[in-house]
Amino acid sequence: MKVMMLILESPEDFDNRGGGPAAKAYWDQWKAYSQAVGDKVVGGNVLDRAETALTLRVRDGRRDVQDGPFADSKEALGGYMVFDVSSMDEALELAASCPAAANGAVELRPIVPMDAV
Amino acid sequence: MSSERSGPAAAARAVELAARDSYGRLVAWLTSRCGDIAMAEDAMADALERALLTWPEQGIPARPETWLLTTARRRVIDGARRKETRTRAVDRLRVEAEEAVNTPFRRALPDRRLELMVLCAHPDIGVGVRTPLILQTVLGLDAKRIGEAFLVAPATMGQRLVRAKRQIRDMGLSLELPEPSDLGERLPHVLEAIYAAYGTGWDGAMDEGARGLSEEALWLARLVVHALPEEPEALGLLALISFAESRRAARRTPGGLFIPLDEQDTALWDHDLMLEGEKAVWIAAKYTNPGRFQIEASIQSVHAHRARSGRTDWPAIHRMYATLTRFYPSIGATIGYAASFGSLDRVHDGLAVLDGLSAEKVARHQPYWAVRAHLLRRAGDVAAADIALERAIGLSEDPAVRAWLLASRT
Repeated sequence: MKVMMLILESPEDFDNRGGGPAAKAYWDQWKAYSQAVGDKVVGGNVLDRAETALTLRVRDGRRDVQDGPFADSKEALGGYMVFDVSSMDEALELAASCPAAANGAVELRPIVPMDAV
Repeated sequence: MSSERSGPAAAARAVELAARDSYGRLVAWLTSRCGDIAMAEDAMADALERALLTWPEQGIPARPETWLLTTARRRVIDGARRKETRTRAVDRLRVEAEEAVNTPFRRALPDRRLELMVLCAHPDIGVGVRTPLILQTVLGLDAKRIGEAFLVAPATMGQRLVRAKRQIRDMGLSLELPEPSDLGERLPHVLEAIYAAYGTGWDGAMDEGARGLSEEALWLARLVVHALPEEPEALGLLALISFAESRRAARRTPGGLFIPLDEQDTALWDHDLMLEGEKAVWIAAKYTNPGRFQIEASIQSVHAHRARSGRTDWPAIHRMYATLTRFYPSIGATIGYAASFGSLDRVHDGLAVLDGLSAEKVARHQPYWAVRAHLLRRAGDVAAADIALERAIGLSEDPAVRAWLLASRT
């Protein structure tokens, strides 16, 4: 099964990306993590800061464009990975050592296979 | 004064206190009577709920445990009557309920918790669900807490527990303690299950900070030794857990940074727990019937000795790991054996031991990569050490361990 891991990062971790001494540790732990999950990962991307998001709604033919993410919360979507695993248990096991789990949160969602729709 | 003895807070506390020691006792006893763990647990949950409702108003009963027992028993009788099943068990229960009204609690209720644990660790019950079953039936932990410790979704864990209890009921497995000759075969399953509870929350680096269910495991290990004071391996397990628990306060700096075992300040080790471990090791040794847990406890005992002597007897530890891997081989034992070569400056021998493990089994095993990185670096193979360290970092769940490994890079 394919499972998407939504990576919700804390504001501090977003700040850590930018530079300074914390940046190296931040990126190194992610590099180590993605290598450790290895071929269980079949896709994924890092997303830019939440402030760069644009949210669009169309209601009654009117556009509503907002600066910022859809959900306004302390933790923001910082990236995602797609796992190819045999069960949600296995996905949880892979997620447990994800650096964001300790500072933010990760959400696991089974991907609906399109041939089943 | 009166508010202390009667308010809702006091009642809640009385319920909690009565429940902590009696929960498993009551569930075990009820299960022995109705043969259905789930029914026994439901009855207990109901009795506890009633206690929370009625004790604040009517005051805490003089004998809270007896009150809980009587109430829970009534629930089992009602439940069984509704289902019109197991009538003989219910009749017996009713007779006993009447007899027990004026009997002191402990006598009215023989401790059947060991039997309950043996039942939960029955060979026909899946290995993975034995520990969760014990934690739930003996300690009353809920599926969420257990699921978190074992990294399983709460709903999934709940389903597994329900299925296992149904299996026990449908197979008609009895709560009777097996014959002593069979107990020897069944007890290791119980000890393994308790050790698995201790193992939850462990993450790498040989002597890491077990949060998880370590206190519960210590409690269960004590319970088994209390029931079987002459069982060497039960004593070994208790010693092993006591020693490991004794170092809890020394595993982190006040700021939360990880401290490996050799660098821990022994003044922070809990001396009462070390003494408990030492005593158990000595009593077990009297029976000259060694086993896996006794050997592992002896290794921890050597580490504990540093608190007095200021040094660690690495050759002794190495010999014990050699014995452990020879008679009770496991990945953990092999990694410990390999690491012990490192302590004797025989890093290449240690690496050869690691190379003997199946690559597939260690691919996601954090301690393997941490020890491998350590040995490779000491062997001077910096490039290979960095690769292994990277893997150990990527597999670390504990942020303190991850940070420590990140900082250890050259």
